[in-house]
Amino acid sequence: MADRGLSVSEEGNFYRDGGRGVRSWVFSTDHKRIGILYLVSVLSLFTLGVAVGLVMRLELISHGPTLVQAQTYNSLFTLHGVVMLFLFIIPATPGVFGNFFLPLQIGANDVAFPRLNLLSWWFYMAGAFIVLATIITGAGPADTGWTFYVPYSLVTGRNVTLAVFGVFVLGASSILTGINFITTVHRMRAPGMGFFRMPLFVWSIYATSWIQVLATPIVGITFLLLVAERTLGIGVFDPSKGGDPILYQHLFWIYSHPAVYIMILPGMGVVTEIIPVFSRKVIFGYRAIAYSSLGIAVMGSMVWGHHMFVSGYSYTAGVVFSFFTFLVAIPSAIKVFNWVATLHRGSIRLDTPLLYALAFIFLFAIGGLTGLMLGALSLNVHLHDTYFVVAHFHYVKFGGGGFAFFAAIHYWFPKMFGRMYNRRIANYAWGVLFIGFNTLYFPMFILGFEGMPRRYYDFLPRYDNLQMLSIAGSWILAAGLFAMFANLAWALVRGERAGRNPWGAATLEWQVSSPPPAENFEKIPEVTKGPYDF
Amino acid sequence: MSEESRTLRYGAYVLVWAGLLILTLLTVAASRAFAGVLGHVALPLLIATVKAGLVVFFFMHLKYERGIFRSIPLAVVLVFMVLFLFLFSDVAFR
Amino acid sequence: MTSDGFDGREREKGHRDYTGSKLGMWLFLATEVFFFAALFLLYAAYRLRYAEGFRQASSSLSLFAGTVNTAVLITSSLTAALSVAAIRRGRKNHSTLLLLTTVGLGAVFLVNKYFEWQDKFSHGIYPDSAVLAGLGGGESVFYGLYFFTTGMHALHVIGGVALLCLVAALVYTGRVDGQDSIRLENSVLYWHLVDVIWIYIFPLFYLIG
Repeated sequence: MADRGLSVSEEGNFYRDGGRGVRSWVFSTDHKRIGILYLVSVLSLFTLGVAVGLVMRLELISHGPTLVQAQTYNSLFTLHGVVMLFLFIIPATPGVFGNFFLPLQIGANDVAFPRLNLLSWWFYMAGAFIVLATIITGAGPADTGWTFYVPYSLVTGRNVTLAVFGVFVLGASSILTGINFITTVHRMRAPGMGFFRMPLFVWSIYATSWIQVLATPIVGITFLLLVAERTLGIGVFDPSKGGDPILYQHLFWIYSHPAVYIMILPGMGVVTEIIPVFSRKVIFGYRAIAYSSLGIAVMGSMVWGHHMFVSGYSYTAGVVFSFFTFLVAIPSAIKVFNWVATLHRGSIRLDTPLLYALAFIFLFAIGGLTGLMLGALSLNVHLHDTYFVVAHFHYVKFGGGGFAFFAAIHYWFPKMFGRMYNRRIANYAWGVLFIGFNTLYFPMFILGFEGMPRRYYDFLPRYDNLQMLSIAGSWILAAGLFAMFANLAWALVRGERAGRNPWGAATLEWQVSSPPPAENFEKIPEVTKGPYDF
Repeated sequence: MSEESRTLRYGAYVLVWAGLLILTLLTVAASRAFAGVLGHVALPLLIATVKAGLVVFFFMHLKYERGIFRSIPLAVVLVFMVLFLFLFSDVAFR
Repeated sequence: MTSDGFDGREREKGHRDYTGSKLGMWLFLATEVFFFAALFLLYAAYRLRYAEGFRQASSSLSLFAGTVNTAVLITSSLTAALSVAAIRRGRKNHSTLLLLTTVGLGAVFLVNKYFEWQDKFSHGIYPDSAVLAGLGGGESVFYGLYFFTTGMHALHVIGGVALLCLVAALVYTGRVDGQDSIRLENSVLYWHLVDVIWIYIFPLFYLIG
């Protein structure tokens, strides 16, 4: 492109040309503005989730009640789970980067249903407010854990009904986003952009959207059943009326296990975008990666029962679900091998986005392999509901999904805001974050193996050392997060102009100016080459 | 895909409707005539599926759709069957 | 403008992406199916456990009322489908009239449903009732599922009736016509799906006894 490096003021961009004031944002149907809206909202809620998590860790710094009472601790881990899962990691990458970059990457001017897109952000905000309202209304926030397992969730006096309804609204938001993205991919691709010329981030969002559309309604109706159970007493899950609580667990995990892939698949897509750009090589095994996204979506819907090995369901089911749990590791492993093969003999530039991507691969591999340990029926009986599980899913969701989200921020920041952050500071922040993460969560594997149960606000003296190490890790992690966000905030105001294509990437979003103009493409581009042909 | 080719004659819709009504009566009769699993589960569900198929294919025009539109009902049916089988690996063996 | 930024790759009928809108609707219908599919899964699991209780509870439902309602809903599906066929031929008044007939049949369905529920209530059978507590677990669960499933379905019928009223007004005022009929077609698709779900609810709750 000839006019590389034009500054923001000389070219039109969607911040300047889309109107001013709050109304021009919260009622905007521009996918880029909606992406920014999601960015602001998910980061606010992420901050809340981190704060709650830090308090939970701090509570364990001494024996007995330290900061909070046992009952408050129950509400804290519930709130932490609900906020981090339903309000941060599920909507984060699709909501922010899916919205902002999916249309740009396929050469479209917007998503297929722009107004529906706005509605889905409003549903997200409504759900968030309902969930947060449980803190101050009624009998206080739910104390059931984010899974809302019956029968306890039927009898607790806490605000479960409202919380569950809030999550139902968030589910509606997620479904609408999924419908929108699938239609966009099918209908809005630029001429020449065949399915196998789409960037792999688009593929991963596409697969994620299918899970959102097909799995979310199941948990939606399950939560409505829970509401009806609490308000009307219909007795479908209530054992005293002939109901079966294990069926609640089935329905809950039919959604919530695939939801784990809603959290991780977009992250895998981000990493797949970053690795070829920073190793200057065509992605290795494009089709294998594309199909493995769909493979994960399909296989991921067949393994929900591995959350229920000790619930008292049938032994046959245990064997079946354990077997399929091992199979689901295959498509994930395919991706890891292809990333490594892409890096092999590339001319690697170790910039901030690649550092985050590499951290993703490392942490996700640990999370995935410990997942196989948990998926083994016999070992699970020992490890179930211990810190081992806590460590495992934090490695997958935070080390995987979270780090991929940070990778995406650092990769696309110059495109979204037209400015470049200080890469030296960003790299240091990455180092602190990485060390803090492992110090915080790795001891939990050992603690869990030694028998420390999850969700306890107290512990035996023999866990003292590792608990202290983990708490220290939480502070290092917080420092890393602070450094990372402070650096980005500084860049927002004072960063140098980034130009059109600072990383030299080949996908379409880098062909427009930074930040992109309001209408994306003046003329819809004609696509003649693959997304990774540099 | 011209619009005209996708518009059935009025008469065709009425025929489908008549078929649906007959199947409804048939399913009621079958559930009275046969006892056990055949009359109370297998036949009614089979007939219900035929009826649903008629509605989806003719009233909802799936007959004239191609590609992704055909994949959606297929995906729905397949996923439901998977969920059913895996759920029953528990409830049928408890 | 970004608000209706459609890239015009396949412009049909003025400014709307006809196929895209329909695709969005079909995807939405898929989510609706799974909404009810979860209830059917629950039903199947409990039916396996409580075969006898389900049979007894089911035989107390009015087969006649259920069959009539099935016929009513099927007929409403016919009139809905015909309204689309009419608009394609440019017959605005026919289409409006057929839509209003559909709405009327939907109302008949709801009234019938109301009397069915009323009858059960008058016998002391409603969620959390003392009578249900006295019956076995199987019957209690059956009625729990029955009230929840038919209640959810009735909510969908109410939603569909509202939608069809709205679209009938659009057709009558000419804002939906043979050239731009996607809003009518999508609403009718939704109505058909409500019918399809009832086609399964009917045998599950009324015919197993």
